[in-house]
Amino acid sequence: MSRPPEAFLIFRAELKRLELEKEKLRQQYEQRIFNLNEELQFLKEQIGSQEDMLRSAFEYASRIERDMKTFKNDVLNDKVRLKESHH
Amino acid sequence: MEEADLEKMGFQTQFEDRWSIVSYHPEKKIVVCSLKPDYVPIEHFRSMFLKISELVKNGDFTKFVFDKRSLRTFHQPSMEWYFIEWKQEMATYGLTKHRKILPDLEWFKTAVAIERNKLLEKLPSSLTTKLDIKYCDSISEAVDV
Repeated sequence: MSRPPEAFLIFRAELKRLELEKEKLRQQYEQRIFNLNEELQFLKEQIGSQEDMLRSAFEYASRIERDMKTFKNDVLNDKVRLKESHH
Repeated sequence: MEEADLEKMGFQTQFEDRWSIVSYHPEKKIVVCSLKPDYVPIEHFRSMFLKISELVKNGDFTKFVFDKRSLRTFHQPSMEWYFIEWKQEMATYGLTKHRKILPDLEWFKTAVAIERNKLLEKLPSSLTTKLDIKYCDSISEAVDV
């Protein structure tokens, strides 16, 4: 069998090199997508945690507000009782 | 207060990654964990503490300094796991002194205090008496007190 022409051999080597390059780029791309997804997951978790912190803070503030109202009412009731007791 | 140079104080680095730097001092029997980012995802938080567990189990440490000044968000289930399970397990290895450093932000300190009160209710009373927990402003202070 005769040897393939030189141009064919060069073409085949170039094709092989490009295929390897393509595979390398594909792997790099997949790694970048994987890293981006991971960062996205971290950010989602962080946002969820921030929401939890906000929820806790608002619940705490609401509880204080309720306690203050109750305290204010108690003070008012005590004043009324005190006045009535003087009559 | 000026920040301590752990290396100059004789601390050795156990490990360092994107999330934290963990150092220890065998003579002072102290482990210091300084967080780096404003948030640590639970997966990495647990993995970091499991690595610290190995250090504690193989050493003779009594004090743990947790520097959380970089944090701006905390993941409550992570903190709950650290506060209740990790501390309880580490107490069996003699690590009972905990020094914490929070960011100098009132809103963050208040957020921590709100959650801490809930956690204290869940902590077994036997452990509450055993643990010595203090809040500090710097690593130097945490190492000394």
